[in-house]
Amino acid sequence: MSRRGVLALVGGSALGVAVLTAGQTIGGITRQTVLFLPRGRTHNDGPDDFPINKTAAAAGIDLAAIGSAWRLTLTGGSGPVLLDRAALAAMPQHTARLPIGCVQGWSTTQTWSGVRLADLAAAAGVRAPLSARVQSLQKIADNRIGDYSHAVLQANQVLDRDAMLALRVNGVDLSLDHGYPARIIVPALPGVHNTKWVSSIDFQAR
Amino acid sequence: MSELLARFRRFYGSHPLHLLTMVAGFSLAGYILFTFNPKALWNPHAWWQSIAVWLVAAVIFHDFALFPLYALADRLLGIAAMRQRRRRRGQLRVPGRNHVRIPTLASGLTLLMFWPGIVKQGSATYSAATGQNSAAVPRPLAVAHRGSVQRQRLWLRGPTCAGSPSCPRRHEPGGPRYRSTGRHPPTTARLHAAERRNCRHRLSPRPLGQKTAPTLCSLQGSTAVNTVCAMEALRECG
Repeated sequence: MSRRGVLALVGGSALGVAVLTAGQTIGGITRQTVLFLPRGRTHNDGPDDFPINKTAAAAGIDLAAIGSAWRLTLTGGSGPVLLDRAALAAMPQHTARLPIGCVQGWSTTQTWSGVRLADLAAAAGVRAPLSARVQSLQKIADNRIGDYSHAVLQANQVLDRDAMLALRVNGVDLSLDHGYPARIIVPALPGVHNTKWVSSIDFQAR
Repeated sequence: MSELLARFRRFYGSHPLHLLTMVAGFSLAGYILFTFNPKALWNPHAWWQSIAVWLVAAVIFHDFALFPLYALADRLLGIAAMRQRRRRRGQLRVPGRNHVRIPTLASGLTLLMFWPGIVKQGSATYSAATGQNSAAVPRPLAVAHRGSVQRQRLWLRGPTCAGSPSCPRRHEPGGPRYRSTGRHPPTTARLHAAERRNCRHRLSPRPLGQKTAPTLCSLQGSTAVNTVCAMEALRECG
């Protein structure tokens, strides 16, 4: 094999590998060139068909804890306020089309509806919150990836007009893997901080 | 600008990009030496996951086991290629064994790359993160490997249509002989003489109609291939 042949072979191999893999990053129609990897798969049919980065099973969600016994606990005011899902659904609902940008590299834009965080702060009795600590039911991870069972939102994130505790997505209740009974959706917040399976929100007053 | 470039070349001896590449390479090597820590080579939790172990194992396993194996395979291939060449009476435009080497390399590379997916490595993490089961081997992977095997089998069975008119072409600029010896392109007269020699050599033992022995043509039976083969047969030495 000539030297030119070896160079052509190495270059051709590199080009071939690029064609077989780059579609995963570029997305769109180029995804079809990723011949040897799964592509064009759906998560499930219907309005819940968008990606997740952690399943309820992986997060260790106890089905009993998110059933009829589930209550959202709001603290920070004069005393804790407990709301069940029906009470949340009875509050003024806000709808917004917002993206989740995941640290895994994907993003997805969906239409969410739920209760504004500002309204929840008011319900807790905190007029001008400084921050809010959101706690999830997901088990505390003790691995190197980090613990995302809670997240702290700043005042501007709590008071943004589109920031909400979502109950529904695309017109249906959240699915279990998307954070049922309720999850946080805040504009321009990394996906991991849009906490799913929320159990309590602690508002810090100014 | 070109004056400046020429002056730089005179001073440095090569294109500025050469200097840039060298600086980048030395910076990277320097950075590695600067941050290097012998501890990084050893994983105390799982000894076999240490860089040092893999390095030594690669040296031993590759150089003493794998390399002799594929050198032997290539040697056997060389014998097969020689037989092929003798049967065909003349050099091929592409050395015969490359018809085996290159598909093997391509399928080996893809197999290595997608091996973790095939054996479903990390499928627990995959399903925890996506809610989907680890995918089965996609069909195209199997098809691609079958295709490369098919290509090799075709070559081993006999000359292909594309290679059949190769004997007069070996003297063309860019042909294997011209390239490998680095000689100047032969003159037209010499080319013609060589072609006549080859054709006499090739035609003498066989009747006119069979001069190209297009195995692929008879294998394929497609109209397009047959037409090409017929044209090649007519053009040659004619």
